[in-house]
Amino acid sequence: MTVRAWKKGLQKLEAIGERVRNTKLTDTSNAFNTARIEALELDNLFEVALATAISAFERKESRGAHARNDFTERDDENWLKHSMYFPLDKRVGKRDVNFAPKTVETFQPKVRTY
Amino acid sequence: MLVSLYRYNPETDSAPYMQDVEVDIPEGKDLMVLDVLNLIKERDSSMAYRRSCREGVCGSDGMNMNGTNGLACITPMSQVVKKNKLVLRPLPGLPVIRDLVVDMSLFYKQYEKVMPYLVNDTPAPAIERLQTPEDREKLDGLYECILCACCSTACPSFWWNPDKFIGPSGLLQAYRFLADSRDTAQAERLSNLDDPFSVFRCRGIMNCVSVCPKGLNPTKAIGHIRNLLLQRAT
Repeated sequence: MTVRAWKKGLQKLEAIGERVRNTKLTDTSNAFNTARIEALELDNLFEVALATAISAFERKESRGAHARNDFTERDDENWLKHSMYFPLDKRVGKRDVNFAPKTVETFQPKVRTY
Repeated sequence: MLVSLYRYNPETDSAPYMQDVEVDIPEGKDLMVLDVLNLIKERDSSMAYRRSCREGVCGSDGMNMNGTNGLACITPMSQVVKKNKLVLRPLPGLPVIRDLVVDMSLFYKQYEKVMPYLVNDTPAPAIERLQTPEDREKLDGLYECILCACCSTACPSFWWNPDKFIGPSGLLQAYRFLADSRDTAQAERLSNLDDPFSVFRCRGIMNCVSVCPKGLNPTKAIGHIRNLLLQRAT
């Protein structure tokens, strides 16, 4: 991925987003309405596609299938993180990956008193 | 290319009707019937049909294409289209919910009757219940069924007695567990099938064999069940 290609892609996505916002459901039947299911799927798919594109741009490294020409190396120092996208305020964030082992010690059964 | 579709919306139509649609098929491509349905749905989103995996694994899009049951997703147009016309109808014999979508409740009820799960009350071994390769081979041609209902809805005996005759699909599954070396409920399974309708309504018509999209042979399995029932009775 290059920045130029990304910008082009985002423009295309925004054009699709405009069309998604203008979709209209003509079939309002309650009997096995597959059009309604597909309309819901369309909204969800677009939301995820946009979040993917924007988070990918913010992630300034290459990691697995996320390959960038401008940042070719994997960067564990800064990017051992979860990418987060907040659609309401159009904000990108990141969160540490929690490596703490999740274990629960065994304990004796006993009466619960509160 | 002319496609004739069975249409029925219970909220707006007093009776089902056939709708003729002209579809432009891309040159030089042998589309599957499901692709053509998708082309139709792009223009008319009210056309209802079930589909999911689009590769003959999930068994959602069983339908009647030019008179023959099959899965739309793995049936090429070249195979079913006659005289440049394609007629699509829902699976015969089951109540229609809408367009090509049928109510499968009766079909599943028959499936449930044959206890389609392994019954073995002996204590479970530490790892898994083992089986010899030879015993495992006996399940080939039985376990592959995807419950698409193409066979049962092509069966005149099932059309007549969908409440009492288990139907080819259910009986194939019944035999899949009767033939399983790990199952211990053979006697109970056979008792459940031992009546004039459940198995013996099969008249060997073999429509099930000719339509099965997975190439399975329910009639053969039913023959095996018959043998087991007769052996038990003597």
